[in-house]
Amino acid sequence: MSKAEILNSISKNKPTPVDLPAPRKIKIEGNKDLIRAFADKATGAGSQVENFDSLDKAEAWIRQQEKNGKSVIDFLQHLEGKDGFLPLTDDTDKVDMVVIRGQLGVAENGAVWIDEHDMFIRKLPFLTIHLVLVLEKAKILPDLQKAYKQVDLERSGFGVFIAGPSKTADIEQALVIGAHGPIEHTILLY
Amino acid sequence: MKHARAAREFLSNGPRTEWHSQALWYVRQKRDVQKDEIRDWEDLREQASVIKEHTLSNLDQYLEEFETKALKNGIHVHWAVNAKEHNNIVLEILQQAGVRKLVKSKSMLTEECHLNPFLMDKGIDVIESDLGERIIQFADQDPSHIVLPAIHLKKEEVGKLFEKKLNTESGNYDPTYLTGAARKHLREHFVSAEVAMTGVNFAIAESGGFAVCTNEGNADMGVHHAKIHIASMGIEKVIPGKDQLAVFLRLLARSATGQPITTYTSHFQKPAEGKEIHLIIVDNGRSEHLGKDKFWRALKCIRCGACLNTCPVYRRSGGHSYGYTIPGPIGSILTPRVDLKQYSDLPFASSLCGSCTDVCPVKIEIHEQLYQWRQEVYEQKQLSGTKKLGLKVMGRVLARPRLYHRSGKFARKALKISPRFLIYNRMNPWGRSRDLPAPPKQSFQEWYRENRSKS
Amino acid sequence: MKAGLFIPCYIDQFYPQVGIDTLLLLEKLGVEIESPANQTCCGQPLANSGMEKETTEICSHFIQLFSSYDTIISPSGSCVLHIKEHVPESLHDEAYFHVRDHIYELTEFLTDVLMIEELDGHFPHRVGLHQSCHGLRGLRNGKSSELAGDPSSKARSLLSSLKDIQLVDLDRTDECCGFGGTFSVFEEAVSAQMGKDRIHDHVKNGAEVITAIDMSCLMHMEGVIKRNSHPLRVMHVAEILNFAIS
Repeated sequence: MSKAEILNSISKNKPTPVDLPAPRKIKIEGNKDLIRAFADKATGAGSQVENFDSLDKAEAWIRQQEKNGKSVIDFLQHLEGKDGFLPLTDDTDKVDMVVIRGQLGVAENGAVWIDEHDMFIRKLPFLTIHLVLVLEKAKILPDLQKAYKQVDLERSGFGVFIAGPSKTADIEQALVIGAHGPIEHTILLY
Repeated sequence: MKHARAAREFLSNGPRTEWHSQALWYVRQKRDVQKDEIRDWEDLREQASVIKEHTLSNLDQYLEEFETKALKNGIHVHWAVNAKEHNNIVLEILQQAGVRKLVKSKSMLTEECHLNPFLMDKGIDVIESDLGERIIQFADQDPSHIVLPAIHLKKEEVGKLFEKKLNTESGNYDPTYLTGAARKHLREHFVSAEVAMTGVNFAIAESGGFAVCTNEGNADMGVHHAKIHIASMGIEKVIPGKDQLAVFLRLLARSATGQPITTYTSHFQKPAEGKEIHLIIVDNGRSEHLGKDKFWRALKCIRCGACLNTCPVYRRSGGHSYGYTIPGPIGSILTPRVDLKQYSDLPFASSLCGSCTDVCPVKIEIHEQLYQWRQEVYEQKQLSGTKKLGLKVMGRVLARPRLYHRSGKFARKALKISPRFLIYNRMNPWGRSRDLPAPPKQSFQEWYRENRSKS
Repeated sequence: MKAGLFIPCYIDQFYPQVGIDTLLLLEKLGVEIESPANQTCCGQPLANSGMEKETTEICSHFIQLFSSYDTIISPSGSCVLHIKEHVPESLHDEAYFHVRDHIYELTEFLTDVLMIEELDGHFPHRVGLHQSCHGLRGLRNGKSSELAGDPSSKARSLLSSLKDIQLVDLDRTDECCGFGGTFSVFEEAVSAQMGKDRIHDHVKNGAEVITAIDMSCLMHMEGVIKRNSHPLRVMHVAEILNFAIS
């Protein structure tokens, strides 16, 4: 059987065991202001960052988008699909905006973590033209090593760190924002 | 020397070579900016290196742990001893699902297995969804870089390709316009996808899931629309847990493209309701390579491509000149195990400058392995006849002081009195673009004997 | 401390002045130094071509010649590195280990053994320092640009201590010149282009003199300079330092 063949071959050939190093905190240079550092990196990755004093004010911004005629799927209102919420999932560019609550943010790279509990339809964060992530400022951590200590990979079937709108530089290294995923990416900090 | 010939051809277009070299150097520079942002960058590299060595030296245990957890998560796990088996597994999944189209995101492993031609031969339509990969698929070429597959093509060439394949505006070579056209064209394939395929950047043993890193969102667009997600991984892709994943992710995009992180780092833990995930674990010579004392550390590779970006030879000869799936420095130490005879020139396609080793996020001693492969080539009698003979003669001369002195003196005299056409001709490759040094009257030892020696 | 001067084969035959300048420089700095007769080579040309196992005679001869010295100094980073790392294992005995642990490239010796921080000398020229790969990434006599950390370079420190010298800033501080030994012949096209690109960097940034710790790099670049009549000359670091303090 292939599995046995492969594992036997590995067992036979593997080098002298090396110990796993103890995890060490590797610091990042500069900026003690996590929120500013996060905003800088997020902007650098093509995100728009909006600052609010409260969740209410952030949600008001979302309501305004709807008033402006955008078709918005707002997961903040319907966590974990418990209320039978079945959003429009027409597979075309008709999904203007999807709003999801972020669990945490990473200052060293401007990324935000979401998982299936935050948006139970996996394709929506990628299908939408404009992705909006809502993040509590206190949930911004300095770096990925700290972040993964808090991320629970096993609590849902799918999770993703998202840092900005989709992009590519595959044609002559020219950066183009908006490849196959969202063309716009906004982070609402409160 | 196949690489040398291909390189010469590449270099025959001077301006284009300069453009290619500069484009990749620019990516190297972006990487440099990133590494300066992490105060203990070198410690991070050391950590990553030891984590990989630990994992590889316990690989069977980690793979078993990974499989057990993955199965518990509802992921189907397949094992493939070689490329042929891998390809057949993919075909079987497609056939069982009654599907004749596969939407793919980038995977160097599938390139290594020559999956696309195999599937197309069996009537399966393969759609590469990564922009760079789609471009070269249209151009009927192989990728020339493991991260930037179309780096060797100019926007005019891409534009002309898209005119033919996607009916884009004639003469419009704007990258934003062309990317938009690709977005529209591929979107149809994404939303109608039934089976989608990805590679695996890291397989996490402790949780039985895996991570896929992309910028374009094409991997996710494919797999979340499709009913079946096939993911292929080499055995060396497994890592212990998320604490270790964090270390690699801090290094990967910074080293590869000079970004702090890729846009998407997607973690696949369980299939969505009513859907399937099939994971194929592939050996294809890796377990055997693990047993090579001088070369196994090449398996630490996390496929960032930093070594390609920095390599002065790769930048000036292009990925296609290496004649294999993975080009550049890492390719030149992985490929000879596949076929030493066919690829015996690759370890020599290097000046051994060591830049690759210093950019490698997992500290593979690439240039040292290139040197060691050269010894293997000689050992396995794959060194070219003329090279071997010339060097053997040189070896004999250099071991005998008196013979060395006389040869040296002779060479200097000969250079001095020979007319230019005798020295600079086709038999003298050095002299093609360079002058030889002017022969001095005395050697150092002759001078020393006259001026310093007591005897 | 009795020091032995190792002069690589191509310096012996084609650039004896570099050997002479190295000797004179070290003598001026008070080092008791001699160059044993009958030196040939370290074996690098063969080993780099895959024939390391054929270098036992050459390396054995080397060890024999130099093991009696307290210290061995050479104006060549690549040869020193070769002796430290690629002498066939069959020769690894006490004599070899003594040689391996006491062999230095010139700027390494001046900085780490003689502890020289400044030289009292004068060299009023615009100088481009080429960072030879073996010295830089092999012997670590400077920090390569790939690594994180503060810039450092033993050769640069010594040169910049000279009065009136202007060390130019290059676009690419430590890209390889393309010599690479037999690489220069078997991958001639790439090698030549790499050499041309290095020269272009120096010309663009106003260097009059290109210097390095390895004459092989300079020989290769000088070949390009002469063929294309560039207004530059090459001088080994030993030549500059000896000239400057005379």
